[in-house]
Amino acid sequence: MATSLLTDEILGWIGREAEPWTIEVTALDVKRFAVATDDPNPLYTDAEAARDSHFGGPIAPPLFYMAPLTEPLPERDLRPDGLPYTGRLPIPPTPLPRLMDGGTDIEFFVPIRVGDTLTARSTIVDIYEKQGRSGPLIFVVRETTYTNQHGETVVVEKGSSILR
Amino acid sequence: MPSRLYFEDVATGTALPRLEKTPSNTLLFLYSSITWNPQRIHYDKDFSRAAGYRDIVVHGPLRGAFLSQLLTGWIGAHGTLKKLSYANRDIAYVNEKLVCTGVVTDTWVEAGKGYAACEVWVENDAATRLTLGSATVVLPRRATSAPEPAPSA
Repeated sequence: MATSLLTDEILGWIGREAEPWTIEVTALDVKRFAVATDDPNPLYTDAEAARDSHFGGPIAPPLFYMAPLTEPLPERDLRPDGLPYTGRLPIPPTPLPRLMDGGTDIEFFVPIRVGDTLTARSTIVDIYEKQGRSGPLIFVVRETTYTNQHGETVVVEKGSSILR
Repeated sequence: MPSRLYFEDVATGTALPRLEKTPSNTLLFLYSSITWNPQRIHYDKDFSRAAGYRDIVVHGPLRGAFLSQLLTGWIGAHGTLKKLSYANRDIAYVNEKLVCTGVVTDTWVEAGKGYAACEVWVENDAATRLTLGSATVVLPRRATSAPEPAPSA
């Protein structure tokens, strides 16, 4: 059996929760997100059109919840590549230096509405190792649940980070 | 594209529309801003090159947003995007033409609702699929309350 890079310390990160964060869904930020993703759907920006739809009012694009992902940090707390030294979603320390996005699985439950306050809770649900073409890979899988102010589940996202 | 897509309009093999995007430096700047993403490979060409990239890199989640736009635009305001999965396999660069499209892979009715599963992807001009994904949408059904034909007595 090949030596595993997964030490008990790394595996001990399974179950670790990030500090919850909140997202205020304002009309301005929804409009900014729609413009920044080049999405002209009037449901996001035209209150009248949205009122006449079966949603009954303005909603946000499905992936709007991704907008405030990064915690605003002073420049001195950013690495030379611009990323924070410690992100909102911490990654266990491993000997593998490069971090890649390993894919995203999203399930949508109720629409994100303008005026909502969403609360995000993120947990590392799995850490496993695979042999890649260029060497070992460590996958860190986290599940993040976004709930609105009524306690309804809005979005559940499962995302993988790949360390190589 | 019909203004309202019904479950009965789709079947396995139905092609999704093609949504073309050529993300400019400006769009990437706006996306970095709204996502508060200070990562330099998305706005600093010299830094990107020094890091081994050919040019400024398109954000992975922006390609996810393009796929969600493809799906929500296709199903219209009366359909619902239920699931979206995507993984970015190759890098997309600024000013590169991207085409988002897909195909219906399955349809079914569950608890009176019409569902369609789709394979979706983002490809470049050379038809290389840079992002692979899948989605499930819920579609309205045409009125099923049509009167039963009168039994021939």
